[in-house]
Amino acid sequence: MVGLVLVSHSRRLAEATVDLIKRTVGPDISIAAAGGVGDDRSELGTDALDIQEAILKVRSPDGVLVLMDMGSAILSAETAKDLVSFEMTDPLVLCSAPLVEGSIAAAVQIQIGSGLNEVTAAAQQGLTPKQEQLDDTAPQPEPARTDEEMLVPAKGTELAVTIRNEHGLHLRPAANLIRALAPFKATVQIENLSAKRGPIAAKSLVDLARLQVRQGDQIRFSIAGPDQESAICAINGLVHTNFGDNAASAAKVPPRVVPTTDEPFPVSAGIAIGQPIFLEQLEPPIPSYAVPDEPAAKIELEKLHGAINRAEKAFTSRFERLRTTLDPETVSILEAQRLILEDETIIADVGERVHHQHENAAQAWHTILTGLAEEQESVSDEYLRARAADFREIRSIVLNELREQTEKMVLPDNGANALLVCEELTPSLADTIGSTAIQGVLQLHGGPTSHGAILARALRLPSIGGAASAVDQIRRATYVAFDGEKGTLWIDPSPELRATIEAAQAASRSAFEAALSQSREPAKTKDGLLINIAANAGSREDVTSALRYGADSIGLFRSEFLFQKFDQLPSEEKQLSTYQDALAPFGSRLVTLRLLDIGGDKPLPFLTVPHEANPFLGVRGIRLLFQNPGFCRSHLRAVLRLAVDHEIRILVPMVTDHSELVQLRKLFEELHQELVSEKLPHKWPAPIGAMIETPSAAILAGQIAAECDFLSFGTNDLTQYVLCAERGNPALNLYADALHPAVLRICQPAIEAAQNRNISVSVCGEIGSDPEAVPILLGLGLRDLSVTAAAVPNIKALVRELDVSRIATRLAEKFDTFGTATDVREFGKEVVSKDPVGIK
Amino acid sequence: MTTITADQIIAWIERYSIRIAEQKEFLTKLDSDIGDADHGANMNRGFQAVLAKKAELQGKDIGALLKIVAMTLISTVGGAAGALYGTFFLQASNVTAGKTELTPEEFVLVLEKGLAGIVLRGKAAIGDKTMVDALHPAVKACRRAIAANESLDQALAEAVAAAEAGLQSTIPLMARRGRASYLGERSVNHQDPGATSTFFLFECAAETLTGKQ
Repeated sequence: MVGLVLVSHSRRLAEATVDLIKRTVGPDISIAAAGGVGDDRSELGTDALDIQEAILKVRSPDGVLVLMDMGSAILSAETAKDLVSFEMTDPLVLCSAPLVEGSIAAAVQIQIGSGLNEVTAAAQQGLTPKQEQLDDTAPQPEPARTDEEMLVPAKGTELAVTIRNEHGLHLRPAANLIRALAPFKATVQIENLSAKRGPIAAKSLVDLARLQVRQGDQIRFSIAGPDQESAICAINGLVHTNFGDNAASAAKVPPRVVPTTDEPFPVSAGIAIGQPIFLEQLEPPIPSYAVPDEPAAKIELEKLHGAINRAEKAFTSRFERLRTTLDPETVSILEAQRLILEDETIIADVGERVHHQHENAAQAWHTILTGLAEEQESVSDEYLRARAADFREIRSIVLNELREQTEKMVLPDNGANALLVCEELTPSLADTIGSTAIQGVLQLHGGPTSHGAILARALRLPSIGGAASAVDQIRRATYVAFDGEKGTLWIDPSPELRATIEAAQAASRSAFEAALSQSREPAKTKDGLLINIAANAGSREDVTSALRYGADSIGLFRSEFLFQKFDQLPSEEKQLSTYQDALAPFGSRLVTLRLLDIGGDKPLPFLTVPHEANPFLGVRGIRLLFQNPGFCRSHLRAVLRLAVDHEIRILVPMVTDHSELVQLRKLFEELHQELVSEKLPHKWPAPIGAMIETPSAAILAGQIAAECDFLSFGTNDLTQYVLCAERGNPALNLYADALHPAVLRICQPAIEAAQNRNISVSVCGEIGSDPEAVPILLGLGLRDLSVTAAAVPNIKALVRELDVSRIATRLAEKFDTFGTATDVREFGKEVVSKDPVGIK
Repeated sequence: MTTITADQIIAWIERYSIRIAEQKEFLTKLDSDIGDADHGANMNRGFQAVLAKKAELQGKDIGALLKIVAMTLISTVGGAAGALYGTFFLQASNVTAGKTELTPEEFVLVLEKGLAGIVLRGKAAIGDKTMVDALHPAVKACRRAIAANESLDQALAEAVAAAEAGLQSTIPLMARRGRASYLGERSVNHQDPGATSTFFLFECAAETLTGKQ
């Protein structure tokens, strides 16, 4: 009778399998368990001596079959086979059959007295019945390189190898090769024997690209140096893995879907249609000055090195931020792009042009990188051709780093009707594209209340966010269109669809024109209430827009946006003149100026706080001002002096309770005395108001209202704090809705507190610009909305159609039943349908 | 002419046992990134068992003492490292049977037999992200130096450098053998724990086999 040995890392598994066989096949089978390590074999592992012992226990002249689980169990079984060969000559077979299924099949054969060959064959077929039943035969693995294909040293320190990668030594394998060889002292030369190109040093991606190594080409490595043995080993390893080009056909692997919230979402209303232009394609104009002599050339090259270093840093931080969400293919492309930045050959070629052809750094960089991109485009492999874009992208990144701050970026020739595609619209980017012909902004990430979103609305620039999952399609598309109000994205729409989209675009534009013609008139509701529609602003341009779009006042002046152009603390005089300049167009009309609100997601380079695990819950707003008393005094003095020429209300950000207002008022008194003694014109007292944006301030609104002259809801932050959902996190966009009943409920007592004290209460968050929200806000008792300037005409037109007292009555009936933001929005729609008088 | 004594071999094994104990956490950390987090603990269990038999090793010829080391590792380590390091020392014991000292030439032969045993047992090639990536260049460097009539000190120093370079070369590789190979691409950018413990083996050899203890 053939003996059977079962080996598992787990002794209990091996013994339980023995038990299974004895009970299902028969108790007389000669079978032994081995496995487990440690004194009582309770730890996981295998031990060759233990296996040897088990083999000897069931040995038989008919032979012994050993089945094992995996990994070290195999190695230990093989070792045991070696050991046992000194004591036993009976046939012994180690079998790759699955442990449980294989041993049962083997036991059945043993039971009927079959020989070792039949028993082994049965074990190996052990999986077949299950596979047939489940219809899931294992996929065929890709053929591995056989040992014959491994390279052999041709002579001494030369290695020849045939490249199997589908696209030859394209960017990724080339980058892997350079990285792997970097630690060695030995010099490695590479020659493309088939194309008769090279040899070149294996240090430069560009040089490697020039070898144009295709699939099937034979290349030769020549290695020389003290650690050549190790270098050869490293090359061997790379060849073995096709230079890390995992599947030799990487291009065929469908890209992993990047986890996002998947659907694009609305950011800024308006329909846009045009050609997609990626941010990387925007380049500054190339200066044309010549570099006359060596000292000037040195300065140019230092500038270039600085620009490359900055680009590398930006690259690294972007890469680190994204690496967990990108598919491996994109990660390797980014890594390869970083190598282009470091490429010695490029630097040397650029240096040559600066020194000898008297070109400036930007000119020389542009020439060399354009040349490389064109060279790449001339090759026949389509996959390689597409990589020309990598060189173009790196060209633009460095040119942008070389750009003087004052220069505007320019659009490529086809930019007249373009949609900008970017990670996220930042304030500086908005500033840059403000003067271009960009028709709309497709943000790959971002959230509906991120600062990029606010800026897009301020610019009346249609925008959607969360388009990351469609980025590859966008890259290939000729035309892209989207609806910034609904969040719909169309890629290469058919001519018919395009006509429809264009008609909708025209209709929405003419509706806006009609609203605009009425927007300087006050907004009175159907039941005669006067609603103040103010504009949010952060710059002189915004203030001008507020005037143009007919805002009744400035309801929120974000004083920190102006500060982003400073890289050190501005003096009191500088602050004053900056504010005066921005507010000049608004004359003596009412401006609610929010004190510097930084920290959280709005850091400034000169007022930094130590790293915070959670900046939104950190030192921001009034907390930061109080912690920087010197700067705080200069800021408050500038505001008091500004109030001479403008009707200023002072709004305090990030208030937690009324003590902060008491402390601030005391400070203002003190500064007023100072200004009096310095004989500087200023205005005090001035109205002070509290931002209601922390849950604490909303809950304590009664006490706060007693210490100030007005309240203003910052619904963006209030929403993130009440719902515990970080704004700007695209995965939490569902929670970014200030109409959530939890937010409305926390607002309601604060509104009543203000009404009781007869002080004004306004909303200055983004929700005020949302047409669906306006009836609800008015129904809750708010009479003062501050919205994006560009939304003023439409919001005023909407207000004129509302009967607020009827809405308020209905809202009061339903208010306690709301459980979700959807319930609230549904109510809005219901009011529309059932009460045509309420909302048209 | 320099020779290596049985006592030096014992000192090498002892030094390595201590190094493994010191580096247990580090090896386990490396293994937890790409393997089953047992390399440090397994190696330590095996070499502590070897240390416990130190008295038994003393006075034996090199072949006999290496055989004790081999069998102890095979029966106590528990993981693949037991079979692999056990095979290394078992093969080494076969070519040193009855010898009380080794010439540098003989010592290189010991390493080469050990390497051949491991390659046969583990079926790993260079570039598979295994201990072979450190072992193979180290043994080759040692052979080249001895063949060039360099001193044993020099040969071992070069072996250590080669093992270290080999170890570094495992970082960008994708594992093709062992538990880490289940991870595929995700094994990239991790240092291989087996190559690391092999590197320590050569470091300890350089510290103990060349008179500069």
